[in-house]
Amino acid sequence: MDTTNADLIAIKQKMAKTNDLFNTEVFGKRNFDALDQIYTTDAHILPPGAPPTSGRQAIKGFWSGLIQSVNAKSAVLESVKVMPTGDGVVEIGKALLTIEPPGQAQSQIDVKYVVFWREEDGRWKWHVDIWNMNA
Amino acid sequence: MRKLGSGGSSVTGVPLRAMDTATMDLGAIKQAMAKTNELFNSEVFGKRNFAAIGQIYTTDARILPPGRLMVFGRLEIEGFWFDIIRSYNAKSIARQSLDLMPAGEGLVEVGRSVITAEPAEQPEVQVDIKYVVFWKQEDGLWKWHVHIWNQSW
Repeated sequence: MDTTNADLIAIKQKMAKTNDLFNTEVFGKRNFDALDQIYTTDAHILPPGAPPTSGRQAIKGFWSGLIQSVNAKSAVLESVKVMPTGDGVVEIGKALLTIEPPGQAQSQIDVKYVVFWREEDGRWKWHVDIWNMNA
Repeated sequence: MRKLGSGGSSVTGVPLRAMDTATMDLGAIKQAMAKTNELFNSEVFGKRNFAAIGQIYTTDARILPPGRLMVFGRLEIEGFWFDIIRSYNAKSIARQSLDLMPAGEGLVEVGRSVITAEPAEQPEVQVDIKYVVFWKQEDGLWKWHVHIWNQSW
């Protein structure tokens, strides 16, 4: 779609804020209420090795359980391709997760993802989020 | 949020047009999508006709397979499926659409699929997959422009 460059730059800035919240608040501070600003109310996530989860409350439960169980420290997200699509945006990205499970050394995991973004309450949020590991 | 198909413009600042899927006949699009999905099963998996990938993926499609780096471009994607299907002796793929969301001139689909394979000297296995496809129209066909999946249900 022929979104103007100015539109796209503004959207990308807002997307970067959301992605940064995921790292600093959710992973960094374990502030799971920040997920209200990251996922739409009726968002869907499709995690590897687990059933799909729908709805923000259930998604909060997923991230709370996962981050605490593997003692996740950070999730640095980087957009690789951003495709405006009418009311939304399809983003391809990569993420570097740092975890330190109990009794184990710190390790890093390379992840790639696709997010279908939508605007809700003036914020750009993740409506569909699916990822997998590179190795 | 302004609604798709309600007239006016999208939030990305671009007026909605006749090409936007929210204003199109979704039933007809679904039929076209089903044809693409069936080609993937019958031609690519069933007959190992990898040239049919040209009717399934857009020219500049991207796939994000688990355990590998992203693959870009239809020819590279053809090579990927050639290797995977032959190495696992994959027999079929049954796809089921779970959610379909208009996305400008394209569609975002969430679905699940079951792959049946019979690796050398091993019994037949079925693998549960869940996927997201960003569909786009190219050369009159509905094709996969971004395709990511992961295992387990």
